[in-house]
Amino acid sequence: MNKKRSIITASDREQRALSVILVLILLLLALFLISVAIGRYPIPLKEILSIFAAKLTGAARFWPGTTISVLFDMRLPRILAAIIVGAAFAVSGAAYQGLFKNPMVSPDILGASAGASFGAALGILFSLPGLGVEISAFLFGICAVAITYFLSQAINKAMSGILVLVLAGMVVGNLFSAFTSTIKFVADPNSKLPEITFWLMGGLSAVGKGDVLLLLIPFTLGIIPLLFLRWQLNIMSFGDEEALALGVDVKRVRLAVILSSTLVTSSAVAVSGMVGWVGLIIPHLARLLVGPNYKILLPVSLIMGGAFLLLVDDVCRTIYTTEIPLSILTSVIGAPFFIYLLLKTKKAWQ
Amino acid sequence: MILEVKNLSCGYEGHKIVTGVSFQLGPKDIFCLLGPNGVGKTTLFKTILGFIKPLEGEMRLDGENILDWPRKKFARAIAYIPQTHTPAFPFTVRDVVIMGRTAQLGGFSSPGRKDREIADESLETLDIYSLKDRIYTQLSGGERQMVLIARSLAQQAGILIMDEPTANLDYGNQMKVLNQIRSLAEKGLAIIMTSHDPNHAFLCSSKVLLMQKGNIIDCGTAQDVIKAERLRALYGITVKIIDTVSDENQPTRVCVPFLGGTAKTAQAINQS
Repeated sequence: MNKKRSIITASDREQRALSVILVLILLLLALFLISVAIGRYPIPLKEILSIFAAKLTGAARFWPGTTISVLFDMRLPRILAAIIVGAAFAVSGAAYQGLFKNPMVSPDILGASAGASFGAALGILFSLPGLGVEISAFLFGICAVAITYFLSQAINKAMSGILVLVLAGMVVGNLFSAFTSTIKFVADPNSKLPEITFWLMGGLSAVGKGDVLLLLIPFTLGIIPLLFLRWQLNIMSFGDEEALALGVDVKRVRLAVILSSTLVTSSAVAVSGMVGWVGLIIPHLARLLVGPNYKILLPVSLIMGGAFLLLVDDVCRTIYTTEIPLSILTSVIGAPFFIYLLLKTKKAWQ
Repeated sequence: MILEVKNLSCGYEGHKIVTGVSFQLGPKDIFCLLGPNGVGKTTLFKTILGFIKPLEGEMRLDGENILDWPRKKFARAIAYIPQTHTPAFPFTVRDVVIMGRTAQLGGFSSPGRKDREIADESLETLDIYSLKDRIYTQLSGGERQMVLIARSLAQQAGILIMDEPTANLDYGNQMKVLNQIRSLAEKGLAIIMTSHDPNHAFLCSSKVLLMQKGNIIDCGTAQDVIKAERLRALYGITVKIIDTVSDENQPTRVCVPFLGGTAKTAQAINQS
């Protein structure tokens, strides 16, 4: 009797998780269509749908060149970039929170963002083209995390692995922030300095087709291992010794998660600049919705992160005559929202 | 499944904490590791569990050297039940127990229906099936300890290693846990646990490994090893060991400590 009932509840829970994912996908789809339509050059939804239909069926119909160019060269790449960047921060944030057994951890804890910012500032200082700046940011993001990791390996003999890793991350992050400040200090205050400052504030206004490709490759390379390791992340959140005793190769899983998250985060920062909060609040929100099991939490974080940043970016580009930097809005929305979450879950903390 | 520990020395990089530990553990055995704080019980435990590498000696399972087994293979043979703790995330009891299945899963796969059924069976074995949908972090200490035991059962290892399974539990829960430990051993599991209460060794009718300053000074049945003089020398306290019978006429032995007593008064008590 008992057993039968238990199987039903188990599949009930899976059913619930699946329906949450389905609803979120529909929400993202709706948001996507709205995002394509709105903007400085509005395109009616009906027209968008018929353009998509024509592209799919190969029907030869003609629309104004401006519409096509706005749609395919600007709006679609930007929307895709927003979704990928949001998903990237949310997933790597969720993964790191499990790895470091702490819900207060965000994707930049090992210095990825600080390194990427330095790389971008350096690229701008040397007048690299847009794509060059992004590649420089990407590489320095990976470089910073690599330094953190090897530093922790060199120190870590008797101390707990995670603690050393976090400390090394703080040191490396601070160091790269100092380097970025140095570059700002020596940069030409009339041209380079404002460019660096604006880049660091984050934004997707300059995103083109090339950037989406640059994003998509590391994103895919990082996301797939993370999705495969999501059961292991559950175990990792119980600490190294328990994970070992439960049969997880802790060192290898940790390295794989760090490597994948860094790929994903660095490429996201390289394209969007410093966008905070997404990696912290989205996993929280997802956890409230579907619980802490990474099997479901990770895909839900992925979709929610993408939808959230797309929404924020829509607000950024439509609310005011000039664009608002992305990081300002994510903070303005993110910080109060986070306080609300803390107040709401106050009981769980006591 | 027989675990053979031979001349094991453990510690950290040249700093030897425990030396020359040897024992043999088989099905239905309960080993209770007794000894004062700081004699190296935890270090010995961590070495047996493979968290730290031994400085000398060997560990064999059915004759096979397990020191360089991959973690997964190791976890299928030896399960670890840590002291109760609070994880960072509010997993359900069922999820926590299913995590015991990790060692039995293929490389990247997640647990399936069969694993869920095994987890439910483990919960039923310990009579805590009703907790399955509760949030692990919101349970009482006693309930959490039982869930961790259920997780180790789901792991289906032959040997359970328990770090102070009765720590932080109330009197009733301590007995409940000890009762479960005894019945698990009767079902054929081998168990090693640490404890601070010699009575626990009597209650489980276990074998005792008595530790003092990095050495095992005695090993044998609780009756043979736990003596009043021994405990006096080891802990610097006076105790009296009394044989009594339960209401069901079952003979048991208990260890009663005295506060502030000198060795002399203890002798007087023993003689009277």
